[in-house]
Amino acid sequence: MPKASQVSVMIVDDQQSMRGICKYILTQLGFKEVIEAKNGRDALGKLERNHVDLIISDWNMDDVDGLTLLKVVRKHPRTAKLPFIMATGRSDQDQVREAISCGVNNYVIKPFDAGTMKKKIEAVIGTLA
Amino acid sequence: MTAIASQKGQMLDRVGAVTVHQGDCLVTDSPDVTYSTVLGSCISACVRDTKAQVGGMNHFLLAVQSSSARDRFGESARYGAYAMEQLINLVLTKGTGRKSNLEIKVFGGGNINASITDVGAANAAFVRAFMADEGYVATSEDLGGAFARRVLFQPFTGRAFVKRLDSTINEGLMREELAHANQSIKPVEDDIELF
Repeated sequence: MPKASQVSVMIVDDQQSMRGICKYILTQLGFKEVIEAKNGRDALGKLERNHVDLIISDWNMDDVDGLTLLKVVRKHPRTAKLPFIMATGRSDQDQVREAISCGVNNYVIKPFDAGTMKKKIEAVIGTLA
Repeated sequence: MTAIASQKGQMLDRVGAVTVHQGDCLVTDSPDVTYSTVLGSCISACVRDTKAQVGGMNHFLLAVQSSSARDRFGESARYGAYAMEQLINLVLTKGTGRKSNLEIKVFGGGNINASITDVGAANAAFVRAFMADEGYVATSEDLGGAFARRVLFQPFTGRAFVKRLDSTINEGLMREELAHANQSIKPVEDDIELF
């Protein structure tokens, strides 16, 4: 049973306010180590330098979008099995289906609350202690 | 009255305009479309890709009002940030995809009932903070004040027209906005099953 305080989460979103909101929710859920990345390219650089247990990524980003990030993560042996949750808008069901076909572990629809995020994370990494 | 005069003296007919209701987010590249909305304490952002001549309008209200720092990322902020992100992403997707090509105009946030907390001021503060956080500068804004507004926006040209409305509509409009806000903030249900 994973402890939230021992799980390192990377948030990838090009909107600073959305990163802030997501980090706030993760903190509410007990996560202590949260790494922020402002787009897919930034995320790939930070993945090389940091230990990450879970990625929560936006889809629409200027520089390497969420789907491309997912594909690169799945190709690299070190990160191929890294739990990956995609955050999308409610009208983006085609995006969700495409992400599923590319190996995403789960998705969360914006705007989400702490309860929804907890449910999604637990479905991917197991019930939090 | 069915027309609003622009600063250049042109008359903009609002009879054929598309109404943007609270919770809506509409985007178009059509030269014939005008969006129209009436704002009390609600906010509308008009976002346009200046290179692609694609633009849109949203209309939202932060349902839970709080001035505390804690609520900067609280329930209402989440809804507002999502409303802004949704519009920006739609314009980027239909347009050039470059944030540097966006121009944003923001309207609303009126204090239309002086007897209760200034909901409009909180909404105006939210949208200003959002713009600052994301590095956007409003090319035009008309926020606050003790009145409602009608806003017309032509996405193709980027022109926006604001008319300040008579205070007699304020009470009904405020009730309508708050009732809708309390319904619209529920988390979205999943509708795709993962294997």
